[in-house]
Amino acid sequence: MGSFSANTNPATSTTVVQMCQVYRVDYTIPTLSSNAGAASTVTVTGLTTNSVLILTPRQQNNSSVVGVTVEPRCSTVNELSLQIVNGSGSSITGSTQSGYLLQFAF
Amino acid sequence: MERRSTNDIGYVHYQGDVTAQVGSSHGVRLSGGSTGGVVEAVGDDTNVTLTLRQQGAGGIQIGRGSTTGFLKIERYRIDYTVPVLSSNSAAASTVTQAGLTTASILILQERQQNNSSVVGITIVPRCSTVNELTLTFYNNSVSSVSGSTQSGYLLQVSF
Repeated sequence: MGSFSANTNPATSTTVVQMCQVYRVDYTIPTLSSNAGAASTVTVTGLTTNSVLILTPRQQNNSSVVGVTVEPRCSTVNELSLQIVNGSGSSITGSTQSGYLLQFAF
Repeated sequence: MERRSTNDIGYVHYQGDVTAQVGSSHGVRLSGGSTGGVVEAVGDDTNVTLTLRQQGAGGIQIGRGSTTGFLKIERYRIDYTVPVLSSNSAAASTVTQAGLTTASILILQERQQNNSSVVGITIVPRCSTVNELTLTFYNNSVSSVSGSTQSGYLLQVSF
C-alpha cells in the first residue's frame, strides 16, 4: 500500500463521546389510574445532564397490564428522572421493576 | 508532542504513523494530529471496515470511567405485526430474532409510520428471553387501527 493515505470513510463524525456506560436500575411503578402519568427519581451515580439515555425494561412494566411506559432523563447530576405513563384503560397498583439504562455521555 | 512514555519495562516512540498489514489488502493505522489520536482502517479499496474486537468473553470499554464491557453492537431488520388496537390501548407480541440476549439495550427504529393512516402508534422493544424480541404496541391516538405488517431496524447493544 505504500503511502496510500486517503480517508477510507466519508462519513465523518464530529461528536466526541466521553463515555458509554450501562447501569441496571430498579424503579418503582406507582399506583396509577388509567391514562395517567407520574414522575419519580432514582439515584444513579455517574449520570450527567448532557447525556443521552436509553432505558430497556427487563420485563413488562406491570405483571398483568400491558401499556405502561417509562421514559428516562437526567434531571441533575447523579439523578435519573423517570416519567411513567399508564396508557392502558386499566388502573394499576404499584410495583418494583427494573431495566438496563444505557448512557452516552458527551 | 512532548508527552513521552516512561514505562520501566520499555517503550517505542514513532515520529509518524504506524500501519499494519501492508502486505494484504486491508489494514489498520495509528495516526494523529491537531484534533486527536486516530485508529482507522486503511486499504486500497474505497471502503474498508474497521473492527474493534475483544478476546474471548472480554468486553470493550468506551471512555474514561466506564466500567461496562460491551460485547457487541448488532443491527437487525425485523418484520412485525401491529395488532388490531382500539383507541388508547396497548398489546404485546413476540418475534423470534436469533442473537438477542436478555442483557441487551434495544433500540427500535421504524422504517415507516406504524399505521398507514393513523398517527400515534409507538413501540417499545425488550428481550424477553434469549432469541426472543417482545414488542409492546401503544395506540395513543383516538382512532382504532386494524392490523398490519410493518418493519424496522433493531439496534442491539449487548454487554
